[in-house]
Formats: sequence, C-alpha cells, structure tokens
Amino acid sequence: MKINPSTRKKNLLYPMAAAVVLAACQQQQQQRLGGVPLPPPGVQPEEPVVKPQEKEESTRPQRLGGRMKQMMPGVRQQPLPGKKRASR
Amino acid sequence: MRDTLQLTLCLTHDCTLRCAYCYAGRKYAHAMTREVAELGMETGLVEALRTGRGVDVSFFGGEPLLEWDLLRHCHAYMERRAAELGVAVRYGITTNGTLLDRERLAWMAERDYLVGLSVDGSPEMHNVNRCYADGQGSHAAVAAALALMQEFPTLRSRGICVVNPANHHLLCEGVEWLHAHYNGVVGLNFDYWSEWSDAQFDSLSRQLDALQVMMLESYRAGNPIREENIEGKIWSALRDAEQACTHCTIGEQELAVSVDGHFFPCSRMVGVGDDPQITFGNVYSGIDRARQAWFIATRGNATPECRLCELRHRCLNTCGCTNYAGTGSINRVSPFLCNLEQKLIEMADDLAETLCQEANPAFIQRFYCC
Repeated sequence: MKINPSTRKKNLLYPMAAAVVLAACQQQQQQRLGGVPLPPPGVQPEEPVVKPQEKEESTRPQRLGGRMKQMMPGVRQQPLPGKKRASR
Repeated sequence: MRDTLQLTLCLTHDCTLRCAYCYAGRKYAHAMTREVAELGMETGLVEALRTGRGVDVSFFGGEPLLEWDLLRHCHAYMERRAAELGVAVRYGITTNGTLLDRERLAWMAERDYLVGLSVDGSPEMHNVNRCYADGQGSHAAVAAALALMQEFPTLRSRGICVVNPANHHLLCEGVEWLHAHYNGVVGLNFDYWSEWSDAQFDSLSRQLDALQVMMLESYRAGNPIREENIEGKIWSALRDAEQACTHCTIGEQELAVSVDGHFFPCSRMVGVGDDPQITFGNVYSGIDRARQAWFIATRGNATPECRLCELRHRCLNTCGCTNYAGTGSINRVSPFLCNLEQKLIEMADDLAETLCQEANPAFIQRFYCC
C-alpha cells in the first residue's frame, strides 16, 4: 500500500441540494399548517399563471432531482417518467 | 472547534477481558488512587477555567467498571468542585459491558452519561478478538448488556466496533447483527496499530462495498443503519472545507490521565507507557508546558503527498493518535489511513448521492432537516 493522493473532482449534487431540500421541508411544514408555501431562499416567487405551451421546458421542479438539476447549468431537466408535466 | 476539554481518567490497568487488539497496555490489578484521580481532575478543571471551556470527563481503563466505587467517588468529587468553580461538566464511560447491570445503568442514565459499549458485532466477529483470559468469547455477556441498555431509552449510548485484520472479513454480518440488536449509532473503529497487507485491504474494501449496499437498502426501508464514519464523511461534504476538516486538538483540548498519574495528549496513547515523546507532565508536577507547546506546534499533517490531495479537508489526516499508531509520528499519515479514508469518502458520496436523488425521506430527515 502507498500514499496515493486523490485527484478526483466529482461533481456531487447532494452537497448543493441543502437549500433545495430545506425549502421542500419548509413547504411541507407550511402545507401541514395550511399556510402558503414560501419560495426557497434566494428564489424569486414564480409568476402565478404560465401557459405550458409558452415554454419548451417548465422551470418548476417536478421532484427533488429536477430542482437539483435546475441548479446545475447545462444539465437538462427531465420530467418524471409516465407523469404529465404540471399545468399551472 | 469544540468548546470542552476532554478529560480521560484511566481508572485501572485491570480488565475482565484480554482482547487481542487492545492498545491500553498490559493487564494487571493496579487501580488509580483517589489522590491521583483528584489531582487529575483538579488539573483538568484549572485547564478548563484557564481556557474558558467546559469539561467532558470520560472513565476509561482497563475496564473502568472494575473500579465502580472509585468512579462514583470521582463523579461526586467532580460535581462538587465543578459547581464551586462554575465549570460545566458532562460524563462518559467506555466499557466492555461484562460488568454492566440494571443498577449501574440506571445510575448512569440518571446522570446523563454517554455509555460507549465495545461490541464487535455478531458472535462470530466479536469472539475473534474479544475473549476472556481463558480464551472464551465474551459476546454473550455483551449481548446481554446491550439488551439491558435498551431498557433505558433516555440513556445516551454508542456502540464501538473494532475492525482489524483478523475480523474484517466478518464486517457486514457484524453490522447486520448490531442493526438488528441495537438502535443507536455505531462507530467502526479501524485498527491503525496493526499491519494491513494489500490483500487484507482489498478484502476490507469488498466488505465496505457490501456495507454500502446494506446501508442504502436500510435507508430505503426507512430504518437506516447509523455508522459514524460514513455519516461524518457525508457531513464533511455538506459543510464548508474549514468546518469539514476535523482538526485534531491533541495537546490542547485533551488530557488523559494514566493510572499512575502521567498526562497523555489522547486516551488512545495511554497504552504506550511512559514514552517521553508522548507524555507531558503528571498530576504532581503539572502539565509540562514545553511539551504541550511541542504538541501544538507539531500536530497536523506534514506528509508532503497529502498537499496535492483533493480530499484532504475531509480526511482524518490530522488526527495525532491515528498518525502515531500508523507511523510512530503524530503528523505523518500511514498508507492504510490514506487508502481507507479515500474508500470511506467514496462510499459516503455514492450513498448520499443516490439517496438524495431518490429524495429518500430518512436521509433528508437526517442530513438536511429542518
């Protein structure tokens, strides 16, 4: 065995997901309390009505993975398999 | 940085067991005197006051429960003196479990002790190393102690499972047994004092791969396996680099008092005897400040290769006692530590990445919420 310094630079998503997950937790708590969910920190509230056909890709997260991918520039967000995109 | 002084009192050299890997030195009937214990506690209190810290008192051995009366005397003494001096104190003990009973557990639960129980997993894994003097395995006794501990839901506890070259091939079944019989957190203590061959390390890596799968499935089942090393590596990615690195405070925030009253900078070093490189004073002469300054100036990691490593902020490379065990120097990393830490970080990242992408509720609850 030798000392073998690591040169790997992995693009890990989970360390960056903290803010997103925190927001999801807050949203869940708000919903449990019957209140209006707050946007995650640093995220502007979305417009109330956006027609689906106006955009190629919805920017609204479908799931945690979607929101995480949204945070990563250049990573295309995929809808959940077998699930229609949410219309608003 | 922790805001407490870790004060360890080694109450006796004696032990009910003769574990093959024990680093705490030769076993014989020799206990700490009350005078040495009190002087050791006074030194700890003065040091805590001087640096504005609280004190975590930890009873260690040998088997500290062999000196139950002395332990209770130390507790009463510390309570009285800490109250007089206005120092916050918490207590803990590391035990092999063979002398635990309901009365002692109730006493410790009432006083908010953290009980570290040494249990190497399944009977097969445990009995490889943890035997009585006659060679008989001690698993039955420790399993009974573990069951008793579950009767005290408020008792703070952790399981300590040592992994060494002789038992590592049973690691997964050991963790599985612990998960089935103990609902607390377990720390895998890898044996850095032993020589690990390349083949043994490869075999350990395969066990860790299998453990990663077990942990993933346990999260998916909503009943996670809690293991301190892996959780620590996940935390190290979630915090920024400065916070992530567990900086060793050897010589500064740890004071271990041997049975004879010598001061060591870490409880894991007491077993090396009176190596002048490692001791720094005693209860009669006080802390040797020149030696203490040497520890503080020398600690860290002086291994040149590590400067290039991307993982150095998430690695145990600054741990003085681990380095000393592996290389004989408090600031030099052993090849085993390097390879093991990389393996653990890789495991932790793979596990956390998968669970995060799955939005696993138990994982989110543990590491992000709320």
